[in-house]
Amino acid sequence: MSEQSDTSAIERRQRERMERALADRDARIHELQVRLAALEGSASLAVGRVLTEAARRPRRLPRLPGDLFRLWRGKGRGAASPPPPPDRPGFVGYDEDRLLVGYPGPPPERLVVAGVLGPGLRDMLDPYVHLVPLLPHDAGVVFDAVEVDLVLVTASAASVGSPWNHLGDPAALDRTRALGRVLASARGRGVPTVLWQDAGAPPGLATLDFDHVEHDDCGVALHVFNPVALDAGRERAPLYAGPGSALSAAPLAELRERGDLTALDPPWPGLAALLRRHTLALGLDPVRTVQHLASGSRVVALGARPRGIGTDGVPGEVLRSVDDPAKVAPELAAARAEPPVGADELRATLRALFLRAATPVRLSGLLARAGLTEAAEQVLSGRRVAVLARPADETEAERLADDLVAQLHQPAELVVPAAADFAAFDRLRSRGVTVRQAAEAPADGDAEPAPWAALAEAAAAEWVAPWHGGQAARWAPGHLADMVCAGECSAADAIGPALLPLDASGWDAAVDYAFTGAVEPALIRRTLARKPTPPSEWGRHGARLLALALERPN
Amino acid sequence: MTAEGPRRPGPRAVVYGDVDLNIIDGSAIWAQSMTQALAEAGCEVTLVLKAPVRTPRLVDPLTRVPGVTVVRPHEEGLLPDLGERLTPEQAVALLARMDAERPFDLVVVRGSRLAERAAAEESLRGRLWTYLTDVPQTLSGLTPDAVAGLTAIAHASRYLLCQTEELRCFLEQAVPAACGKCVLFPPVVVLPEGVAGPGQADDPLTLVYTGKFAPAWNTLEMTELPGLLGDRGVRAELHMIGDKIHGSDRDWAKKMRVALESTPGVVWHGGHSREDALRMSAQRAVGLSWRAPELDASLELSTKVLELGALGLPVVLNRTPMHERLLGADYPLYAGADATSVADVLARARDPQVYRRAADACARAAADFTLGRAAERLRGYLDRALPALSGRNAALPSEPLKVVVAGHELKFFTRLLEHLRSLPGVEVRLDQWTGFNDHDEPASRALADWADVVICEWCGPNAVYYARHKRPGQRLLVRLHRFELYSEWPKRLAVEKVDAVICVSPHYAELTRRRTGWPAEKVLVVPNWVDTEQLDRPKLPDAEYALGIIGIAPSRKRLDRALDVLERLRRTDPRFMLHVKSKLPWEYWWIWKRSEERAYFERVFRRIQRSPELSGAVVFDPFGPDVAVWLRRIGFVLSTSDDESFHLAPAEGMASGAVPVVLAWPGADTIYDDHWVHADTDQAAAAIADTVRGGRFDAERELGREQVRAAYALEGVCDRWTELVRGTAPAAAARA
Repeated sequence: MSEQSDTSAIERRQRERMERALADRDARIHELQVRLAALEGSASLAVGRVLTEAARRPRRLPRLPGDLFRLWRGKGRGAASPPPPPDRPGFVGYDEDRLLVGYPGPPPERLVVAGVLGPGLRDMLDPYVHLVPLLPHDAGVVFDAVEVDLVLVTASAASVGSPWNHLGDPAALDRTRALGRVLASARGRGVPTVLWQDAGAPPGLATLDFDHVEHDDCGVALHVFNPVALDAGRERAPLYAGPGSALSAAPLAELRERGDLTALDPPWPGLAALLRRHTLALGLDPVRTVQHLASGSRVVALGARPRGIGTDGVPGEVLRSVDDPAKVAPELAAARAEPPVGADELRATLRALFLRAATPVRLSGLLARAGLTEAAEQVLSGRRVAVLARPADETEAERLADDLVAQLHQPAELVVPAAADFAAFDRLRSRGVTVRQAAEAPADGDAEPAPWAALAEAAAAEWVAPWHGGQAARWAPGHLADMVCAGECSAADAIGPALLPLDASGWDAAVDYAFTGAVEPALIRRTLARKPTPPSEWGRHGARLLALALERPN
Repeated sequence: MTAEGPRRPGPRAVVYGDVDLNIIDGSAIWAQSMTQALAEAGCEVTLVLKAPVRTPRLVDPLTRVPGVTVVRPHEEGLLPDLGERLTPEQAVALLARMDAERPFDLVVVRGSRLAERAAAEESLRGRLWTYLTDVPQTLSGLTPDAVAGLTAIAHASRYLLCQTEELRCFLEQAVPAACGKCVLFPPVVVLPEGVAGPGQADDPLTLVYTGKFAPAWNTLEMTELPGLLGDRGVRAELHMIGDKIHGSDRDWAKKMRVALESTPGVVWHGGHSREDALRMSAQRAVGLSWRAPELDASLELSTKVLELGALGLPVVLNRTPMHERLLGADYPLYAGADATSVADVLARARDPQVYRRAADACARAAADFTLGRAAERLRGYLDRALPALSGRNAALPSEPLKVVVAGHELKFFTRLLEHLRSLPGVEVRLDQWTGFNDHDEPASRALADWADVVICEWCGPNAVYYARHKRPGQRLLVRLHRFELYSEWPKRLAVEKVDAVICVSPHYAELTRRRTGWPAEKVLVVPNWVDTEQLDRPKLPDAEYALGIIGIAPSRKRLDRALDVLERLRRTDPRFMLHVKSKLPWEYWWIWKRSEERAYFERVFRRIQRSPELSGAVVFDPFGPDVAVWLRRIGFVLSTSDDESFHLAPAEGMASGAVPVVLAWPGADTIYDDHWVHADTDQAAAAIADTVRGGRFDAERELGREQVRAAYALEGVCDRWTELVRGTAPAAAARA
């Protein structure tokens, strides 16, 4: 560029900057004029002036009541009217102008949450809500600029690695104050505010005014902590993953000193990978305990048992709970003598976590208790299953109904051909299952995808599960729970028994929770099931397929 | 008489608490212990009583303490129309009158109403030592009126005495005027003689609670404990001492009374004197100080916990950050929110090892709250507030030395100004210029004619002016910082009229000599001061993952380099964060009007937004004088500038117990030990990572703290300035 054009470009930029600065100044002046007009017209100022005048001239005092009365009578009249705003195209001056923002927002079905969250919470909640993270220095600006459905604060936001570290501590009043302003703004806009006490936090946090306080942990995010594709050669030495200070007292300190325990405190991004590397763990808090369980470890847990995990869920040899530190060492020794968690144990453990201790379950419960019923249901929409079936007669329909009623994870829908209208379905309807009838499809046998595709087309749920009928194909009560859980862990497109043998990797012969080239689909994403591609071709076309054997009912 | 001259008398202190010493509660104990501690610290103490003495139990011991005088306004008829007790207005009037007759060096007051009145009394201004209680402890309580009241008190006070670190931090962030004035004065534990606990758990396990009965004090829930322990096979007795049943809820009050009177295993002793209550507590095994969670946010420490600990009892209490600092995170008797958790904890307390651990932790904690410790603290505060009486300074001159301090921006001189004002025989007047080159000329002229010594803060038009108007016999001292060296003003300064040019670092002194050609012996180095006492506070947990930078504008402060360090660290450990305490560049019009500055900052801020490593990892904390509080969260203070004359931030960081991380700007190694200076951002990041991973954070911080105390502590720098002002420093002899 020539020197002359350089100069004119500089001058043009300078002129543009000056014009912007001038426009900004005009806007500020206008704002001040509006405020001044409001003040001039305010009753407080008027009363103040009258009283001041009376004080300055005591002889006017007897006239004071009359002056005030006239003021009251004349309220609103003669108030200075604000000047018209300057002509500033694109200028936004009202809070509600955020509603005009045209940039594409989140999908309509996702809850929009302004979040003050602990490390890892963003990853844990990401599949379920649309998060707008707030920082201490931008909380006001961001919150005022976006439309949100909920303000969510977790107590773990006060922990290390979070920009809100020390929130609620008297030494971080600036952070508490910043959050307080957001809560006040939310109140003004009618946006509900929730404090999720998922961890110990400075008590000052609880003094802020939330609409709802939830005393519960966040559960385990199965898409983060899971046993998918575990390596065969995992470490047998027990792992403690957490702050070292928890091991400072005897007898736990001695365990570490003797080398009987690997103690590490990794930050969030490395945590899941670390937990997967160990077959045995010591859990000192319920959240870490369920994370270990989901990662396929045996756990010796000291202290409170994870909420929702009763003795009838996770097998006793997988989760050993003790309340006395002196019992930790012998329990670890006993657990270490056991082989790594087997297929059945793992399935039962994951099922228990999926049903009662997974993050979406906790989140849904929180939203329901906070009065956000629709959102509570929406959070679990990724678990909704439409069962696809072609019962031939009433007897088969009864068997179908028996299987579905017995499911620990209730299906949301049943899709059958239009001709399959059986009385047995009333039982399902009475339990809230939506029964849909789809257009007839040619009955060419199970090998053809077309019949399922047509039924899948009519479904609305995220997943579809073909029910094949016949005594040999009856579903165990945990069937849908296990399959959907596997889907939540893996983000697979289809789950079912592997059709191809896998390379030996040290697991059981039927290798569960590993990706594979082909499966006999027991659970399929509706978007995949609708396609005419046969299941044998799915792998080749890039679908993610997870192997999981069927559990047969007793 | 001593070898150096007449013995210097101790400071004269007056103590007045808006408390009735006939009611022996915590506030009365405070008045007694404050008086005793001041006396032990070397003061002549006058204690003024609020009410006539009916119960001499607290007052009588004080009359036997040497140096303590008890003034009884009622008995001595010191004021007309006295009611049963002095009102705050009467108290302040009496204190002012006593002060006018014979001035006090310090006026110690307690009670917010009293403090407000005292703050409004002009004659007491600057000498108040205000003990703050009943201040708002939550954000919602910080109304504009409350803040205004506390601000007025802060302005009028020399010190604000805070019971806990938590209260001090809260106050400094809520009331900027309190920054630099808040010091700690924790409770003093005073026990009857020869009283001690049993030293072990007994059978039945005896528990004790003393105090009021109120819902949030969980006293109703406590009565369930004998039953809950019985369910666990543990025989237990709960001894309740007190007679005030609070609670506006009548149903609750009724339930409480019934529970006290008729619950099996509960023994209600009723109300007793403080001393008797302590004796009775000492006969039990475990103390209870368990509260409802809503009280966890209190900024005050329960004196009862300390008293029970001093008796040798372990105490069951809530787990709060304050209690964890006091007793440790692994203290075995923290209770949860319900009575069941308390019963669980008490069952464990029967184990002799657990009992011993808990009792020892409580006793160790209480040991820091003795009268001796209180006196030691007060000696430190007295030394600082009254350096003349500390014996550190030279003998008094025969007549006042008249000193003028002139400049437009005095923020780097404030503590020195305070120090000069406190020197005996020194009268200080201020010539506050309204702008770098704007001043009230007639006023400046009058001050130039008046002063024996003129100190020009900044080598600018002020120095040129005072050099031009220097009178014979006067001394002129000019402090040069940095930017002046690159301006026209040093060239216009008649340096032959200047007695000393003070630079804050050897590097800048050398630069000044080279650039100006001024006589080398005139250019001295007196470093910047660091208030090591104020900054020395406990770090918040996990501070080792917090990098801090103070002041990021203009661009030569090189925020981008700090981001480089952070990015490198976060690649292996995302717990590291960068905290920025600064005004934002667009708040400085002279910076923001420059296009190259705007371009730089736009790039930097865009980088923070878009970098995966940096997004969410940089926090901009509000600018303000609460640096001491802010530094509690910081483990490493960065200095990444292109150049600096001194750069106070790393030194302040060191005083706070943070590790300095200095990139090698010119002269950095003349101010900071080589150990802290790094060639580039990679080396700086590696040093930080090694320090944290290698577990050397505490050792490094201690090293830094020792170094900064030795080199830049406020007291040492003040002494140097005293020598310069008095003309007793080697190169500061008066020149005509």
